Amino acid sequence: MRVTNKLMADTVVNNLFKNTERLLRTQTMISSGKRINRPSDDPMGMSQVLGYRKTVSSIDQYEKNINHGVSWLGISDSALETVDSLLIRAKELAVNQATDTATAETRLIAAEEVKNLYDQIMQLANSKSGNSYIFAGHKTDTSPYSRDNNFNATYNGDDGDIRIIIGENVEISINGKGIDIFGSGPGSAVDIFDILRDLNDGMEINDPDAIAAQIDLLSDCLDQVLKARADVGAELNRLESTANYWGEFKLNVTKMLSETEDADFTKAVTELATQEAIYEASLGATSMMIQPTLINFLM
Amino acid sequence: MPSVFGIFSTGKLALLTHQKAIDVTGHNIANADTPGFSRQRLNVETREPISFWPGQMGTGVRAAEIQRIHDRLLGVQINKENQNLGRWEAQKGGLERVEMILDESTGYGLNQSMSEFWNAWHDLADDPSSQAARVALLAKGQRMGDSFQKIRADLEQIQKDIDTTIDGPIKEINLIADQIADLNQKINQIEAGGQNANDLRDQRDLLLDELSSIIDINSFENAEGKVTVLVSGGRPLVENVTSWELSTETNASGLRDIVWVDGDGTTEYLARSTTSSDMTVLTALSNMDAVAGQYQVVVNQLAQAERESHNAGEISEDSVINSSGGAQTFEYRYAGGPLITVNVPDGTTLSGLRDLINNDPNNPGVSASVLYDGIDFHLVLEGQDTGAANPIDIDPLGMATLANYVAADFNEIQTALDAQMTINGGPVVNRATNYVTDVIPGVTLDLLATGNATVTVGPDSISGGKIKGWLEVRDVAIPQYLSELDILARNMVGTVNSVHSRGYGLVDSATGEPFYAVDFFTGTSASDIAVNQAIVDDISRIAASASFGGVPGDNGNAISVANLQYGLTMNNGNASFDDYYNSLVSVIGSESREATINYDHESAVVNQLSNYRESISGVSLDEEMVNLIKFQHAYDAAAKLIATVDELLETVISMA
Repeated sequence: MRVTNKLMADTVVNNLFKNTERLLRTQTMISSGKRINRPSDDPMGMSQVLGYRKTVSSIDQYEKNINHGVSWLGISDSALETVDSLLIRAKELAVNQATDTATAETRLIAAEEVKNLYDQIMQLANSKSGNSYIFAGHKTDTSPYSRDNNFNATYNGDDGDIRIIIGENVEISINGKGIDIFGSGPGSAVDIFDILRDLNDGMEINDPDAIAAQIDLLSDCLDQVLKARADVGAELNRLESTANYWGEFKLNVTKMLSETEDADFTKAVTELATQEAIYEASLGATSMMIQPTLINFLM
Repeated sequence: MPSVFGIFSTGKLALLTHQKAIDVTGHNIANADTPGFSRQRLNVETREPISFWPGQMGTGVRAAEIQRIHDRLLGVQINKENQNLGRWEAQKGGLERVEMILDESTGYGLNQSMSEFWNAWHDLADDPSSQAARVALLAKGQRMGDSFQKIRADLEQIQKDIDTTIDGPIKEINLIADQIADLNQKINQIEAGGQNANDLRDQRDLLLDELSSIIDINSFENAEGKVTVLVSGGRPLVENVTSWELSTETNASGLRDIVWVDGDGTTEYLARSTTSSDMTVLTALSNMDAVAGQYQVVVNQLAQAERESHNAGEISEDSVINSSGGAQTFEYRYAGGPLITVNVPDGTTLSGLRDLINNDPNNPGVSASVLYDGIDFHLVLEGQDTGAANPIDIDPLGMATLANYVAADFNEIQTALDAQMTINGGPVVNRATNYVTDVIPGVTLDLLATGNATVTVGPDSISGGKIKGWLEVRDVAIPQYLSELDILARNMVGTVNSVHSRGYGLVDSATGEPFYAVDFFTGTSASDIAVNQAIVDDISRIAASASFGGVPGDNGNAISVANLQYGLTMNNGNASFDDYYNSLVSVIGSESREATINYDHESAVVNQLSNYRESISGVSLDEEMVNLIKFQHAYDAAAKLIATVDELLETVISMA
């Protein structure tokens, strides 16, 4: 092939450009830390990256939802735990005051304590998480329980279910409905407030039979609260295991995201070094190649 | 024996010739870096010898011609590859800009804002009565709408930018065409005188090179050394010493169409390529009003003309059909027009009746013929026009007197019908003829049979050069992306609204009752998707609750909306919103990558060819220096020859 000076110069310039382009690409990779800097760098990879990012963002959201659920259920659990101990105290009082050793006097004193227990339990049934009443069903803006002067309780909530999303199309209910736990309403379960009212009334009128009649009923109340606590516990467990699952899953997805998207530094730096060496060599060769022509030797 | 003076002449010619050779070498050296320059060579030959004893006696050297070293075929090949290179270069440039708009690599694209939008619904579900969650959701909804609008506006901006860019190269094309025409004339004048117009040809080749990177051209040289240049679609740009112009005209979509300007100033559109997927069903042509795209055409029925055949027939063409002894009448009406009465004289034959009908000056468009079915000869009448409005009605009043040729004697063997078709599944369209010009704007359909065919209106017929690449981005790629983005936005609006509007907002303080739901979004495409103003005005209208009575704790509807992100709502139930968008990004990436790969490949090819051309036509300084020395020595020797002859003469003179 007949090689002219221009051909040589053009080829050299072309190859130098190619070298610098490769250098630039590797440098971009290293400086951005990413293998895929625009969709055309790897169209399929980019699509996967978008998918992974979306998954990570969803998992973050699930974790947020789960935390919300955990705090809500946590409040329920501690409220119910206290209710449990208060009911045990009420049952103790009932057992003590049903015996013949009790007097009208002691019963009146006990009645005062029962009233206190009643109000404490009602206060717990009106527990809030943030601004929401947790035992009110959907009526989260309304305190679910109120009473009149005769200790007749009213349930102002409903039986609405409050769910959170903890996975793709996976939802879990996080609210115990007051009506199911504490009662006070037509057709409701064991009505804790009515039983406490009857206990109080029995004590006030000094009627041991009426007091004794509440003992078994109070056991039923305890069972009911225990069951509610078991439900809450089970839900908490489920949330916890789901959170663990997502934690691990996120780790995997993040790893895959990184593998797809991030530059392999060792490889990139090695490549950069090689390309720099090649570039320098080609620059050196160019300076030697372009210089001599026949003219240099004629003079 | 030739005289001593003859040797002077040989010496002088050798001096002059080698001086010329040095001159040419100088020209080569001077132009070593001139773009498009082909090295030149002085071709020398021996002069006519004279016959003499003891044999032919040479008379020296002569410069024959200055030739440029050039491969015409290579030039044509480079032009061709240049067209591809220009095309991919322009496409690569355009698509890289598109890619930047859809830049998801930083995580701040539409993908991100869609994610945030769905997540905001989760947050609302966690706390449906919270104002903060509502404010956040509103902001995310607005941001997503803005992202859609921004991406769309940016894509349209690229489209417009490309469109504006087209004017420049068009001017360049016209300038080059002028120059080539001018060079044609000069080259022709010089070469008519028997010389080679080397440098002018180089210039012209260079211009062809430049031209071919802008638009696809086809060039060939005639015997007079003039090149004809044809642009896309075979329209002449340069012919002889005349040049034509290209120009632009704004089309219906506000973009520039490239037109070829005829000598008399009328413009001709460089037609769009239009194809039919089934040429047996229909063929299609388009003009500049046609919008590039695909049209599904279903032909349900072809238009046809009415045909009436005489039932009984006659034994022969020459059978006399009126032997009554007097004139009788044959009557018909065509296309609901006036009654036509044909006078049939006594003794008229079947073929005679045919001719009477055909030659009747009042005939409104019915042609009569005689058909032989193997047994009998039947008179057949056929309307000239297709369409349901063009029936033939024989003997409509029952008053015709030609016996056996009245209404009851004819059978309709083909009914007059309209063509019926649907376009893209739209309503049924009826047309009287099979040549349909007014159903798809700018597209003429020629219906040939019932069936389905897809008509594809491609972009302009320009097939190469930068302009092609730009048009491909402007007319094919970007419109496709825009339409996919619109589909995504429209589905998003529709799907979110349909779920949102089933729910209930917070309690309206004015009525004391929960807000009945409104649409969450307004708009029908990526260009106008936005959060409903009613919601912007009052975030209590965001419907988190699935029940009227459940407000404010019920989060059922918020959960339903949040779950839409997993719904396979796109591509006929095959993809979620995210999948759809991600695949759009992936498609754009692939197309950009493809353009880059093609560009790299083409530039390697053009590079290779240019190197090859340089190897043939380029100036090698080493070679020129060797030549210079060679010619210098020859020049020196010729001078020595003259000096020697001079000495010889002196010797001779001193003898006297």
